[in-house]
Amino acid sequence: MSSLISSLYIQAGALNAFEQAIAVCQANVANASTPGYASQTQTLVALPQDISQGSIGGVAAGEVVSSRDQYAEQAVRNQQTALGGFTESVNSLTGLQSLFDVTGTSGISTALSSLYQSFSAWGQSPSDSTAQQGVLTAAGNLADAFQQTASGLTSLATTADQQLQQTVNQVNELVGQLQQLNTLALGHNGKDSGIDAQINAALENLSQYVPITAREQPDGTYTVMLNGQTPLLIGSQQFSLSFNLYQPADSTIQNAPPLAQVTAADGTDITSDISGGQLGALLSFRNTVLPSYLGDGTQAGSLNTLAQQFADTVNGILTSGDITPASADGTTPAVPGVPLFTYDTTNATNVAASLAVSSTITPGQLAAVDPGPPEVSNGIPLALTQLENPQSSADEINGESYTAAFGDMATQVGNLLNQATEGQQASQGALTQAQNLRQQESGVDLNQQAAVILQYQQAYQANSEMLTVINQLLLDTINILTPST
Amino acid sequence: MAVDVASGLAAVRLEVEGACQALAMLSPDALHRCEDALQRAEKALRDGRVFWDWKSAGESARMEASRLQAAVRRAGRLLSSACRYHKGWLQILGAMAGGYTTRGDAVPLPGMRRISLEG
Repeated sequence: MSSLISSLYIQAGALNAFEQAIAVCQANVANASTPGYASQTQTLVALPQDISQGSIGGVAAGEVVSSRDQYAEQAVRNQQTALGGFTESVNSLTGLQSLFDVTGTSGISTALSSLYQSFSAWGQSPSDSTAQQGVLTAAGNLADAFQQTASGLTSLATTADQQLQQTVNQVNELVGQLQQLNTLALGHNGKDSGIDAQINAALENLSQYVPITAREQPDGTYTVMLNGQTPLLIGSQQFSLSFNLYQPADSTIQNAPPLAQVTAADGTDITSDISGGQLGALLSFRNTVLPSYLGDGTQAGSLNTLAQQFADTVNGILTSGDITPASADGTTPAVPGVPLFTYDTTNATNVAASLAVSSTITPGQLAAVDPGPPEVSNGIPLALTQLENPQSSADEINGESYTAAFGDMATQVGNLLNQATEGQQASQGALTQAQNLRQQESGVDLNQQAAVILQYQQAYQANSEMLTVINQLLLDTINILTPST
Repeated sequence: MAVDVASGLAAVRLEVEGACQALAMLSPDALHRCEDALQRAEKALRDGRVFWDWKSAGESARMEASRLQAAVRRAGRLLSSACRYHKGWLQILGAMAGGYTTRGDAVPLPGMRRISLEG
C-alpha cells in the first residue's frame, strides 16, 4: 500500500515539475518578440531515493536557466554604440556640408569668384564708377557670405549643445530606469526573466548613446560603467552625468567660443573618455570638427584665418596704391588708398562673423594707381585680380590660393561625411552580425561552440587572405584608371 | 566584345556585397558562401585585366572603383569584427578550460584535430 502511495506522490511531483517546464515554454513563446528577452529552460532535478530514510525519489523542478550570454550581449551593445556614433556623425556632418557648398550659386566660393571678376572689370576701366561700385557690391556679398557661414557654424554649435544636453539627460534617464529595475531584480533575487529582459533592453538602448560595459552581479542586478571606467550604476546607486560649456585653461584667445564638457558624478571631466555612441560623436563634432573652422580658445579656426588673411591682403594692396597720384611738379601730394574690409580685430575667432565692407568707403575711394615706379594707372586692380592665381607666397594661404583653401575646407567636410556614411553602413552590418551571433549562440553547449569557432577561424583566414588579394588588385585597377598628372 | 570597365567593376561589387551579406549572417555555411563570392570577385578582377575595355574607361569607371573600394572596406570591417568576436570567445573558453597564464592571459585552447565530412 505504501509503495502505491509513494508512486502517486512521485507522479504528482513529476506532473508539478512538468507543469512548471510547460509554463517556462509558454513564457518563451509569448515573449518571442519581447525586446531583451532571452529564452529560459526549466531544469529538472532527480530527487534522492532511499526508502529506509523516507526519500521516495522522483523528479522536481530545478532552477530556471537563462540562455542569455553576457559576452554576446556586450558584443551587440558595442555594435549599437558604433552605429549610434556613426549615425549621429552623418546627421551632424550633413548639416555642416550644406555650409560649404562649392557648386551652387551662393556661398563663399561663388562670392569670391564674383569679387575677382569685379576686380578684373575695374582693372579695365579704373576710373569707371560703375566698375568701382561693382567691386564694393561684390566685396559686400563676400563679407555677407563669410558672415552667413560663420553664423551657420555658430548655429550648428548651439544645436549641438542642445543635443548634448538632451543626450546627457537621456543617458541619466535610462540609467535611472535601470536603477529602478535593479531594485526590482534585488526583490526577486535576480530570478525574474521579465525584469532581466527589461534590463537588457534598456542596456541596449543606453549603448546607442554611450559606450558601456554591463556586468550581471550574483544578486541579479547589473553594474554599468561608462567606457569600463566611470560608474553609472552600481546596485541601486546611480551616478549621473552633467553637461556644461567651459573655456579650457590653456585658452589664449579672449571671448572665443567655449567647448563642451561632460563630467561624472564626482565632477571629474570625462569628455575624452566618451569616444563612441551618439554622445561621443556629438562631442567630437562640437569640440573638434566645428572649432577647426570656427575656432576656440587655442585656435582661430580655418574660416576665420581665411577671412582675415584675405581681408588683410586686399586691404594691404589697396592701401599701397593711390586714389589720385601726386602731381608731376610735386605740389599736390598723392591721396593714398583706404582699406576695403573691416573686421573685429580684438577676437581672432570672430573675424568671419564680423567681416564687412568699410562703412566709410565710397566707390571713388578705391585706389587704382600703383605708384611704382613705374606708376601704373590700373596696377592695383591688376594685383587684386592676380590673387585668384597667386604668383607669390604672400598672396597664398598655406601654399594655395584663397579659392583652393576654401575648396579644401569643403573637401574636408565631404571626406568626413563619406567616412561616417561608410562607417554607418559597415556598423549596420556588424550589428546584424552581432545580433545573429547572439541568437545562434544562446543555449549552445561550450564544446559545440569551441568546435564551431575553430571552423570559423579557418574560414576567417581564407577570407581574409582573399580580401587582401582583392584589395591589391583593386588598388592596381584604380592606378590604371587614375589619369596621370 | 570587350566588357565596359564600369559594368565589370559593378559586377565585382555585387559579389563583394554578397560576401558582406554572408558575413552579417555569419554561420559556417554563410562563410562558405562568402568565400565563394570573394573567389568569384577575385577571378573577375584578374580576368578584367585582359577582357575589359580599358581604353574607354572614364569617370563612371573611377566612381564604380570607388564604390567597390568602399564595399571591400565594409567586408574587411565585418570580417575583423567577426574575428574579434570569436577571438574573445576563444579566450573565454581557454580561461574556462585551462585558467590563466602567469602573465594573466587566458590559456590557449589546445588544437582540436577534427575531420569534417560533407556530402
